[in-house]
Amino acid sequence: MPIELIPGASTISSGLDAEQTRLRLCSTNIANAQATSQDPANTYRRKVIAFASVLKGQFEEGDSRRFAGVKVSQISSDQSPLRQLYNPGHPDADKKTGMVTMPNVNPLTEMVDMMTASRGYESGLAAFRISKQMAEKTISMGSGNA
Amino acid sequence: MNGIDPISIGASSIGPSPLKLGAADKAPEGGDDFAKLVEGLIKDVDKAQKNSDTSMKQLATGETTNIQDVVTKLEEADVAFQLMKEVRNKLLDAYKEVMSQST
Repeated sequence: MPIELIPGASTISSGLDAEQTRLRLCSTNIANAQATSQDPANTYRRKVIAFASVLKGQFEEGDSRRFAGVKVSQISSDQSPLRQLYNPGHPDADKKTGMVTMPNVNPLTEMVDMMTASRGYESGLAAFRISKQMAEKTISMGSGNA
Repeated sequence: MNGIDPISIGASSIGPSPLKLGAADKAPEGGDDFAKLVEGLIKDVDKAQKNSDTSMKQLATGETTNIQDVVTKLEEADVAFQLMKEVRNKLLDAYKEVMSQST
């Protein structure tokens, strides 16, 4: 088992990756907030992300080295009802009723998701910084300027 | 970090030796071990530096867009170098200590 100079560096890196993916999905959702389609069934649905932990097989349960990090387990579409908007002049409006089917993207939810991603990213960076500081302090343990 | 474990292997083999300092015939063998240990350490540091160099190149050429992995490798190379520097400082200290015995 090779020692890790910066404990958990790769784990933290995978966490940062996951948060980046979450932010990317928020951007997709916001960008598509007004995307309509001729066929209401094809209307954009908000994308939801789910994370899962990655395990390393060779370690016993209860060993902290067992956790290799986190990964995006799935990206699925939010199945909550789509918004109906009365807008007869819209090219994608229903010819009879004048209703346009809008995506179920809520800007407020996306803002909260983005804040969560941002804070998660910051915590990951803080964990990395502290991990590195610990390694440095340990290395310079004997030289008195720790 | 791959392969830095020569330190831990070396440390465990060096660890008990002060207890049996009387066994003088073992000394040259121990010295050889230590030279190998230092050599391994330097090689590992070199590998970490090369790793970070490669990932920097990959980032520059667009092969990877994963900046946090690149920075992680840079930081690991940095810590590995500091570790090597500290070992070298200790060795030099010990050498100076021995050399100043006559004065």
